[in-house]
Amino acid sequence: MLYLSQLLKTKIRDSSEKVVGVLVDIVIKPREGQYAPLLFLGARKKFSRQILYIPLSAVAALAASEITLRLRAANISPGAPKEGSVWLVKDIFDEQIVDVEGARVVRVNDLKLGLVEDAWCVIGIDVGLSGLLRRLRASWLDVFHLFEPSLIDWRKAQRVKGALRVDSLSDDLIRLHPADLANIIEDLSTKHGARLVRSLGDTVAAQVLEELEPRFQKILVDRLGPEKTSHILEKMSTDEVADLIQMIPPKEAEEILAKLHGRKLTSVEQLLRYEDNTAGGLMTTDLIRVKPSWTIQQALEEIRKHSDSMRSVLYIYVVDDAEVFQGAVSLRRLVFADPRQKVSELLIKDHPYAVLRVHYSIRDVVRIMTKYDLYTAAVLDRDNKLLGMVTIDDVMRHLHPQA
Amino acid sequence: MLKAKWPKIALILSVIGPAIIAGTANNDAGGISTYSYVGSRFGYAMLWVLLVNFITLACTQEIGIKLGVYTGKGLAALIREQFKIGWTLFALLTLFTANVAVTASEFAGIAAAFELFGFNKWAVVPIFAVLVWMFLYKGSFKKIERFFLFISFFLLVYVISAVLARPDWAVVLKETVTFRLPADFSFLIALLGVMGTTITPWGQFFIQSYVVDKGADQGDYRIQRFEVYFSAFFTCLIAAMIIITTKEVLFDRGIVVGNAATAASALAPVLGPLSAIIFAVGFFFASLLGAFILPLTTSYSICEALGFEHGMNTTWKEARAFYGIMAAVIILSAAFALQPFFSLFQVMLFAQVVNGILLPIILIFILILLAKGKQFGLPESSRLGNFFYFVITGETIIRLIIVSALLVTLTLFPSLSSWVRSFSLPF
Repeated sequence: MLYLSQLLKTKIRDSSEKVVGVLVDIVIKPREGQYAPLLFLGARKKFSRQILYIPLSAVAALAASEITLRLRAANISPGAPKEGSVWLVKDIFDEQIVDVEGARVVRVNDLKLGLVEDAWCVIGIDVGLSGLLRRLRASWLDVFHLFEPSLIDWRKAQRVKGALRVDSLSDDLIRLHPADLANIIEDLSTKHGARLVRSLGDTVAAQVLEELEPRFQKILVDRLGPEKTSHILEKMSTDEVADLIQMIPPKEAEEILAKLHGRKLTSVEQLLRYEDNTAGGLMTTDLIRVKPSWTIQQALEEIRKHSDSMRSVLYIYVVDDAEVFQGAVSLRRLVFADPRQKVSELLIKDHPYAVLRVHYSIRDVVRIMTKYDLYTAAVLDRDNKLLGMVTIDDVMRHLHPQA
Repeated sequence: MLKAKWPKIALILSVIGPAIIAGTANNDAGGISTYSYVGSRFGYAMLWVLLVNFITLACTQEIGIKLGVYTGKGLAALIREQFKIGWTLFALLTLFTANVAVTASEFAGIAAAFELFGFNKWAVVPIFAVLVWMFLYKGSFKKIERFFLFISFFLLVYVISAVLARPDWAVVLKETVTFRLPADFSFLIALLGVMGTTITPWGQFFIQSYVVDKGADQGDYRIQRFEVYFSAFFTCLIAAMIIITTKEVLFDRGIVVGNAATAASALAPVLGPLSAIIFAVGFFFASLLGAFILPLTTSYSICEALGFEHGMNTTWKEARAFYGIMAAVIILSAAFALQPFFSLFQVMLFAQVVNGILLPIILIFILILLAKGKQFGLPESSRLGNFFYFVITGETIIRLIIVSALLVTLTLFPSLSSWVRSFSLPF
């Protein structure tokens, strides 16, 4: 077990036991998804500011309190770190990194080095208290070995400083659940958080934005600017967009709305009219409408056409030509039905009270959805016209905004 | 009807930002006590310090928001990244010590307020220690924060009473710009106290975290800066009014404030028999606000620097260190407030002096950060701007160090004091 903190300030001796300098930093070459091989040891002579970069090929032994070289000092050709190299002490010690597996942001206390296929590499990051003590050369304080090193695999860590560009983002990070990504963004500084969102695709960014706490949504929208924000909002569900628009200053809101496309814009504007804690404020207009005269085949086609733009489809909603609500048909019933059947044949006369009215309070919404065991509920206006639907997760989020 | 009115009130409240909160918490029980003591003991002799304080406070807090806005990081995180671990621990230890002292002064303030009604501090302090921790743990503090600010308008009573005391404003103005530094032990202590209560280590950490949390960016910088100036002015104005009130009401009659009751009596000419009650209520809430903010800021900064999970939305399981450090601050400071050697009033004054002694350490960190700023994305300030930052903060650092050194010398060699007094000081 070798840690960087144990190596630092160690004297580097050449093959004739002459001291070349003390170790002050190590240069690595980061590669995505792999342990990073050490390239150069940065040695500094006493009373000199200049750093000598010793290629790792010239190193004979690397151990705590002992670093020796294969050659005499005079025979070593010092290297020059190229662009894209990373300095372990300067760039990584004490900085924040994203622990991708744990989906959290931590600070680097120490780095673990090891041999991988005969090459020295950075293999782990110690983020625990023991790493902190080791850095301070105060490990003896931990007499009872209470603090286990808390190690993160180097390959599962994403650097934050100067590295959050699309090309350098690790696949594992992008593949995290949007809710976990949102937690990470909340832990990062606003600057880095915004940069991370920028480097995600618009669709993922939209999902992440939906998961963020309102406070952070507001900050991020401000940081991303109207152009990028409107791209992301295009991919968000209308009710979330409406909630977000309500939160930000009117001037910015207008600017963003102006950039949204026709259909999205009208539905968002429609939603903005309703009070926040009513069925109207909770509902989304992203739903699939079918006519009773359609065949099941047509209805399934309609789902295929729109499913891309919807978070989930559990029910389709049947309306007549005047948009009056006729009933809902579950996806399950559709799948098992004969494709040539008419939609109207599948309609069961629903219980007339198992729908929501647009002015219903959140308590009524909860009561009705619980009573009739609904995952989604249709929202109707006074004339029974279908306006939208409330899904169970919208209700949950409203009741538990922190989660 | 009420519902319709709420949004407007909320809008006004949302304008009240970090600097105002920090400024108000600065004029806490410790602040009120220190200013009352100074006014009743030295009259107007220390008014000039407030003028200098105003300039320094505005300057250091402006540096704080600048660092926060342009890096998006708290002061603790920034120190960790720029100075690495060893110096970070040193800064955190400084912050921790200063903050335990200030929190102790907040608990002493709470106890002093209750003592005016005859409650014993041994009952009051432990109860509030537990309450404060519970509120912080439940995260319900944020909801009541603004309420405290309203209470703090009680401080305006001092403006009224200062005006009604009919001081000679010409003298007040003249004293404000007259520099005095007698080599007197108690004057030097009080000087450190007055500086330490206005410009604080925790205030620097707090304001930077606050602008970062709010997500303020470059565009908000001007507004934030204005707010900083305004709140610094307000803080020092109130301080001046307390000194004027206590000078006119107490100093002229030879009464030196030595406990909350005499401090309250300075308001008697204006508030009459109600003075004790109103003073106690104001004193209590001002202290309580500090008792919430200080453990929170301390733990937040430490966890931020060391990379422990932190934040008001976390649970005990996720963030043991965060709540543990808060508990440590509260327990240590409550114990210090209750120790049998110093009175509650002495604890309050002492805490400000500790702050004044430790302040230069944090200010030096801030100045170095400002100087290194280009490395982490700080825009280059104009030469004039930089000159002011460095001169003002540098002067404060030097002044604090000189006064602290003088104080130590006078403590170690009491005979020196009479010898020094025979000279006029060279600065």
